[in-house]
Amino acid sequence: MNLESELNVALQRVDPPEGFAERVMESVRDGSRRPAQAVRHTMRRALAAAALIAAMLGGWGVHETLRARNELLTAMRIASHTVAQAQKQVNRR
Amino acid sequence: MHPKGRFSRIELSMTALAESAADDILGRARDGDHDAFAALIEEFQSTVYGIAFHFFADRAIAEELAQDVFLQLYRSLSAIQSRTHLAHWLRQVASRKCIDAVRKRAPRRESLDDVELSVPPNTPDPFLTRRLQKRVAKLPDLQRLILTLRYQEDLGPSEIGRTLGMPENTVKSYLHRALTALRKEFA
Repeated sequence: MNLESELNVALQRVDPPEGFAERVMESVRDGSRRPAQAVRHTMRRALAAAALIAAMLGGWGVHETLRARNELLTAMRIASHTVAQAQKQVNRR
Repeated sequence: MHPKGRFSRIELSMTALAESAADDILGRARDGDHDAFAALIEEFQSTVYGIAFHFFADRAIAEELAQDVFLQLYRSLSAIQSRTHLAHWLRQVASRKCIDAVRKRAPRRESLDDVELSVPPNTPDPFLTRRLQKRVAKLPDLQRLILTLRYQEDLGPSEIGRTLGMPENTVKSYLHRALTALRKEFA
């Protein structure tokens, strides 16, 4: 094996991710560096995960509220039934 | 006239033509022409990104560093005299930024399982290329950088020395050590 010619292949110039020149030009216009494409992908994935978690938590919150409301209604119905029974007995006397 | 001599002359004049076209783009970029500057980025992006990528084996870090190099170039355009000077300047600034970043940041990851590789298309033996890239990624920082300047940029020891600000003999010694380490595994 010719190590030097293999190194020429292994260490060829590498093109940056698509849109690199545009990102540099945007940075030139506003003077601050743009996040690298790989970082943008990670940020996008993190945002999507955060949105999913928020939606799940939101869904869980709605579910809990509905359950609590139903429990309260049941409790009020029982209480009202008990009060009505007690009132009936009082009226009989 | 010998035909070979005639071809050499034609090649020389074509190179000179390309050089003068590139110098013209450089001149326009210096005058604030953004399209000309974008053309310079397109021309040199694989040189700068390649140096950073072979050094860090990490696309995100390589892109951030390459962006910084071109932003610095934009601010320094008035000091760039020619295309040759520009190529030298970009290699020098990219190399220095790699070394500075390694000094400032946490050390590179020790595990090489997640090293990012870039195997060029039409590689005769992609498996060997991958193995070689992983082994190069394990070399000490300066050896890796010098190998990249030697084999990616095709620079000789004296030019690498000028780029990194070190004596030619020191460059030769780093190259020798790196190649010896690689030959032990790949010869």
